[in-house]
Amino acid sequence: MSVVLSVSGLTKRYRSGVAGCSASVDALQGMEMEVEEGELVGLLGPNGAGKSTLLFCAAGLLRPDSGRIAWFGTTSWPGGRPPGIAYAPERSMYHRFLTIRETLEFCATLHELSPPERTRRVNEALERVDLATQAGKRVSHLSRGMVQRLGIAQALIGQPRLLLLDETLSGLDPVAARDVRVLLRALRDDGTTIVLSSHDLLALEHLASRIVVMKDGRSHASFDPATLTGGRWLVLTTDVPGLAARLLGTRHSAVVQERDEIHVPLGTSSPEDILADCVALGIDVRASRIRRDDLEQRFFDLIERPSRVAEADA
Amino acid sequence: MTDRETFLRGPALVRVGCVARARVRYLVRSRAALVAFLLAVLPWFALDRHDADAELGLLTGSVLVGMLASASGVVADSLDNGSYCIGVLHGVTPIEMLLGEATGALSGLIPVVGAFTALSSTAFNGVPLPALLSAFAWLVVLLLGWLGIMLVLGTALPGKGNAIAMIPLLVAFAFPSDALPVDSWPPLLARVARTSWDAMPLQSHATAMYAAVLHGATPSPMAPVALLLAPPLYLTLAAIRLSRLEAAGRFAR
Repeated sequence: MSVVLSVSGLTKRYRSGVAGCSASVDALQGMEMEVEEGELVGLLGPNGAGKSTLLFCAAGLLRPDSGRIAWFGTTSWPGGRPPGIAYAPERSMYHRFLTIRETLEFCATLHELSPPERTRRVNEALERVDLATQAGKRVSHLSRGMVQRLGIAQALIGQPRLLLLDETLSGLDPVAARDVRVLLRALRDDGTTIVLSSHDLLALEHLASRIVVMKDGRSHASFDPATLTGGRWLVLTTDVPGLAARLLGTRHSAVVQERDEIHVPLGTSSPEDILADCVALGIDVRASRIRRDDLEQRFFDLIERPSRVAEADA
Repeated sequence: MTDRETFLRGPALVRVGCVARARVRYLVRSRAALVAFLLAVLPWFALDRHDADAELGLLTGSVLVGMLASASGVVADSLDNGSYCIGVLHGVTPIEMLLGEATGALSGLIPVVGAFTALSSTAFNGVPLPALLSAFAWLVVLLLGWLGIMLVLGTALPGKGNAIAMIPLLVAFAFPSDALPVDSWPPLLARVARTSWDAMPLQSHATAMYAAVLHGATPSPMAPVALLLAPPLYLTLAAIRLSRLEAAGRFAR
């Protein structure tokens, strides 16, 4: 499979104030990512992690301070970006005084399509995002969910090979969210490569072929959500984790030690059984919790654990 | 195709027209065109006009004031609200964007010219039509020069900042270089200052050209040169600035 988007060592600093010397924010600090053809990559991260900045850079709308972005295998494209990239923004970035249909016609006209083809693509895009009946509404009068759907519609007008979606699932009512998920799945199945930033963990778990977790402007982890088992674990905190793991391993299978924690699968044993075993084996348990191996837990583990470890070290 | 070749690529009229249409819709629906019309037309009812020169002088001032409203926020609005990004992603180039926005802003002045034609029918009695059309052509050239400056300012200032910045220029450009307070300066410096000022699209240059075409007067050689050079010069400056800006630079932080 060919690499559609390759990002390496990307840095971006926002400067504000007079002559850029009053304040600055490092939005990207050495971001690395590769997206292969046909993938749907979910970008996950706390607010300020640099997801939107990454998508702006990937769309060729922002110039990184350093690092390299290659689209479809090469960095040198006229105008700094290749054709065939579409971007749907988180916020409205459209002319407020145009209607939905006029906005889509605006985009289609810029592609120099013939009038019949233009009309066909506009109608098709309106149908796909279920905005056909609202096409006469002005952008300034749209709800957030409708703006999101307009974003997808304008992105589809140019029949892109790479679709960059920034928080497209936020602000949608449950029905619209389901429709957009169905649409994204259909696009993915049609072979469109998609990078989707979202805080909707459930949607990403079901849609994405790969999750990239960002933190502090960097790629923090990357994994296939298919590896999430959905299984439940009892997590025990103890002062003697190594010894405790060995002892518990004699009574339970697949016991895992991670730093000062021991993870015991809750397959056939209940939490009460495991805690009773700890008492019987003389293991002093300081704390216990149940962990589910889903995207939410994996995300929290990745984002919060380093700080916990740092606190423990301190 | 390199970035430089893309920059120098000829603009596609269909994209220029598309951007212009969006600007016109904004002008009409936001009532900016109405404000431009009122600003431009109202002085005609208040001032006494008796001949073609006075009429043209008034029209020049009126049209320039109307353009402040019509071209207020030109380019800057699109950079601020992110619609420039959407345009860029669908293939628009900086020069197409600028030409489209400029065309749209100029279209907002069409009602002004229409009203002028209706209101000024008696003042131009006896003026030969070719001379009158030539005078109008110089007015358009002046207007394009000013619009070029507004485009450059639009790439540098957010919101309606370009119109606000043009107000002092509108006042200053009404004075010829003779009015500059540089008499006490060293002669060479004073001369440089006067020549530099003369290179601007001054209203006095347009007035000199009106006199030349209506009465056969001899304008200063600088007048037509400054007027004719201004539009391409400022449009090029604006295009260079816009192509060097990050499309989402004002929007993405």
